[in-house]
Amino acid sequence: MMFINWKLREINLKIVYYGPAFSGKTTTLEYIHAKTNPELRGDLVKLKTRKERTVYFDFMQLELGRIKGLKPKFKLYTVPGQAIYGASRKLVLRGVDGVVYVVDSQWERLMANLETMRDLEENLLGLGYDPESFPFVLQFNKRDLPNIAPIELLRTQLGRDGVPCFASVATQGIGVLDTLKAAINLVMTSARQRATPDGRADRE
Amino acid sequence: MIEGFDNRSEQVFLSILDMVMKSIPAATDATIHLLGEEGERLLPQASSLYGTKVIEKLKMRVGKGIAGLAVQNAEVIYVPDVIEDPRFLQYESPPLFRSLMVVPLMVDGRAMGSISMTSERMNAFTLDHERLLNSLAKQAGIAIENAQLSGKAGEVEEAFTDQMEGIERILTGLQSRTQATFVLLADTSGQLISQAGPGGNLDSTIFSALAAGDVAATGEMAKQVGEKESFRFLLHEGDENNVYISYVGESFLLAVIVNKGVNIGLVRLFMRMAVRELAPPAEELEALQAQELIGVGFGGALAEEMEEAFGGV
Repeated sequence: MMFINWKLREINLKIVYYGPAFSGKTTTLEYIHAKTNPELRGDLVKLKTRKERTVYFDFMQLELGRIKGLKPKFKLYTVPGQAIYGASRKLVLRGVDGVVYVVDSQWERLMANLETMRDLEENLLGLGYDPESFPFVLQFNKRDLPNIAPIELLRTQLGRDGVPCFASVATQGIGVLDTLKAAINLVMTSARQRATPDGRADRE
Repeated sequence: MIEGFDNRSEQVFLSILDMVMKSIPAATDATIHLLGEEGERLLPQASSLYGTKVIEKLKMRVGKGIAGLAVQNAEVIYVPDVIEDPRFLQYESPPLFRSLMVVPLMVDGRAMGSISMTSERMNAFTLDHERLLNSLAKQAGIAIENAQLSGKAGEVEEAFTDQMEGIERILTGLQSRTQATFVLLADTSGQLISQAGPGGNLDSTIFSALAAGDVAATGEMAKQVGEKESFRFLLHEGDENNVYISYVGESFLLAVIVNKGVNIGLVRLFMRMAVRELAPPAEELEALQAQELIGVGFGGALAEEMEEAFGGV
């Protein structure tokens, strides 16, 4: 949930990177952390197993300069992708303002992408959000690999035709920051729409 | 005036009307109406002849009369002669003016009110006047919305600051009584609310995210072992420090870090007292979050700021 600290004039927003195991969520966050000005971000915290697999979440904070007197601060989280960590994924989603779904573009991961999308939709519903209108961006990762499915096909299979999407190669940072910018814009637009007296009419 | 509007809004109305009258000398009067909270009535806010004095007879219903129709259909309506137009609701005979042009005030594709201009002459306005008034109305819609939000934000900011200062006092008191190195209040999504104490190299933002994760995970453990509710109190014992975490209401958590030597019973007692004191102001802060007030134009400025933050990558 967006939290505005009026005393410090800060807007705090939570963005969660969601997706199946090995889709590149942690790599994405590592790239963002490495490429942003150290004065504007905190440490990257990773709760992982000995084998470097995310067990709970990765976390970093990113802030921007003051905009119209308010300082936006974004809390970026990843979730663990493995099926056994379903409960952890749900917990990390608490208070989320926007989701970046990191798709593994390889043909053989199609089913994993679909299952995790269904898991995300169920978790959002469980937390009282409408998955259809929730701020959402798709990051189609691993576009440098040879065995990848077309983006349009993946997007249709995921049932997300109207959602903004970006091709990425997280290991090289390609498309990562564009996706984040789109997610931030979407989350802020959504927050503004809620701010209007008749937010519902505004969205139609 | 609509509730929530302040002097700043009045100044914005008067400046807009001044611009209209200066740019369109053919007009003899101009009036700004805004939709009431219920969305059914158009309430007069200011006129170039009467200033911001409320003129009861200028109240309109959405869908009725020229201004009501202009707002309902979000379209410009020009009436070259009000006597000849059956849509015009005539209260005076003869009417005080003959020509009338109404432009809706649009913000984010939604009509929030109207600017009307009138003339004692028939056929007083042209297509150029319409274009000009339309362009002024676009700017005016944004200026009015921002003034409105700014007025409301001032009230929320004051209420928020009051509650926050109350929370800070409670946290500082707790820190002093428990000799804690650090005390913080966060929400259960991991958002830091307030903190007290030196804390050394501790990053309170990260600590809040981890504490919320901790509470969430142990809450699930409680379910697994058949508890009806989450564990309300957590204790982590270290070689040098102990960390105590407690729920405050259902949406917040209080974390206290103390040196190993401090008596556990004492810390628990003072924490329990602080939890009781913290619940009302914390809930009030939560309620104030429902009033999300971000001005028009924030999105554009945000995009520029992001270009700067991520630029050259």
